[in-house]
Amino acid sequence: MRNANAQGYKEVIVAPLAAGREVLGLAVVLCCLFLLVGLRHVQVAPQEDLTAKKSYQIKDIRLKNQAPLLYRSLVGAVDSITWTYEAAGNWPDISELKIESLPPFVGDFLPTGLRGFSWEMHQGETWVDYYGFNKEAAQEEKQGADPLENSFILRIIDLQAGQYPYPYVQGAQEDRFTAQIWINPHIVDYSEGSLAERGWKWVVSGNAAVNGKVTESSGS
Amino acid sequence: MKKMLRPQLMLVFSLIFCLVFFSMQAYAQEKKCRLNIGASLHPYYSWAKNIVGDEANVTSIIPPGADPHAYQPMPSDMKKLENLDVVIINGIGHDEFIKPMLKAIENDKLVVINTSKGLPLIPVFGKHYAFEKGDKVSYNSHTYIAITGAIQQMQMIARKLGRLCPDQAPLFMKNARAYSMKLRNMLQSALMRIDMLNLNNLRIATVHDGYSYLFQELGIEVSAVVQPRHGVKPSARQLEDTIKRIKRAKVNVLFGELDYEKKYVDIIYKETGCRLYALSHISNGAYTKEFFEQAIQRNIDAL
Repeated sequence: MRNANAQGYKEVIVAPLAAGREVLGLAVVLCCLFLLVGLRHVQVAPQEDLTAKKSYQIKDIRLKNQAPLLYRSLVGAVDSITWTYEAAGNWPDISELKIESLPPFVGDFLPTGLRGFSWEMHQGETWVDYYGFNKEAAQEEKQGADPLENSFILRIIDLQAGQYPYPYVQGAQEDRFTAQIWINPHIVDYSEGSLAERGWKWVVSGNAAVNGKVTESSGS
Repeated sequence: MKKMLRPQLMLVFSLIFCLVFFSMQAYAQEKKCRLNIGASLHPYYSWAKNIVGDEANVTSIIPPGADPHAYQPMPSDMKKLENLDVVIINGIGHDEFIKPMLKAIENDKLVVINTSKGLPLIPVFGKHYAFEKGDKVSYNSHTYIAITGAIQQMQMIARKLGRLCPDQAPLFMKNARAYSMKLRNMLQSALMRIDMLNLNNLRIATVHDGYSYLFQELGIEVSAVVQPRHGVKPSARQLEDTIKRIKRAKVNVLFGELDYEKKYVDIIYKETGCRLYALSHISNGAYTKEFFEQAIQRNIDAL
């Protein structure tokens, strides 16, 4: 009986896989998995937000007191200034803007609190800065009044003229000009150089659809 | 014989000259760019008319009496849109009826001018600080109920129309500048009148959040918005809520809308002692070139 059993079953010895081969196989499987995950990530990952706010930018909805109104007024002045530039070939100075009754350069078109601004024009190679500061408000602030952004710069850049100050945003390709409004909570003297490095904040629209890609590097 | 021929020859030459001259004029007229412009709201119609004068056709998308908030487009409106070169829209919620129309339209050459693009916007009242919490900010769509905003939007429209018709661009810009000057003078006159008032003890509320842009440019602070929706008859409960809000905000002047019924005005006055004045929403009535300036002047007078 034992002999019959011994003859009916055959003992087969299976040699175990080499540990090295097992590890290699597992590594290949894991690599394939990581590759698949990576490919899927590239496929579905959100694109880099090129219009994301930079450290030197501030959204217009963060402006307080009457600063939004001055900001709005400066934005509204851009077209009149660029039209004059296109027609005359040079940037209009403050006296010309006053003759044209253009707010905020003429205080009569603004509420009382914003009439104390003095404006200066500073011309660059391909751009112009209209720098305004409000000494009256700064004095009142010391006496406990609400804080207000006291210095503003309206910068208009002619993008077709060659070298321009950075950063800037180019909207549509056909746009010749780009405008920026910079604010500073303090009264600061106007000086050449990068506004961002001197504590100025560039006011951008809170409406994301409006903002474009900021170009920071130099080159024309 | 020669003498007799001379007057006849002169006549023939004159006739040929006239014929050639008028043909050339007609040809030039034909070649001249003439845009068909559509406006989704009353102010856009007025601004476009003031910019282009008689050099383009301006039409309204919806009929004069229709309410843009609740308007349902008709097949005839689609046909109108198909024949346009340009359509001027609000783009941030005041002319929602136009969105499905623009999606459905088969007019590849139609240029859409979104007047809110590039405009500094004010968040909806009470939502000013939504961005602090990272929430999506809702913007006030009544960008056209203000003079400063109107000037900016109009200049943008003039620039875009000028790109479509470069020959007409100088005229459009000249007209836009002249109209801007007119509007600025209205603003200056309003500010002078406000300067003479003592607003220290005044707490102002509006029935709905449509006038923030206008109040901001006049330097007037709005303490409360008592009923954010408009164009809706208030129920007894809503009226009670409005009265509570007015009392809570200690408001003494309330600006409502022209179509706000007198019985509600009387109830509010009786319950709160708050005076109610009416402002125009500038989106109802006949479409005319002067509509915008007339309506905004009425609003300034009411203030």
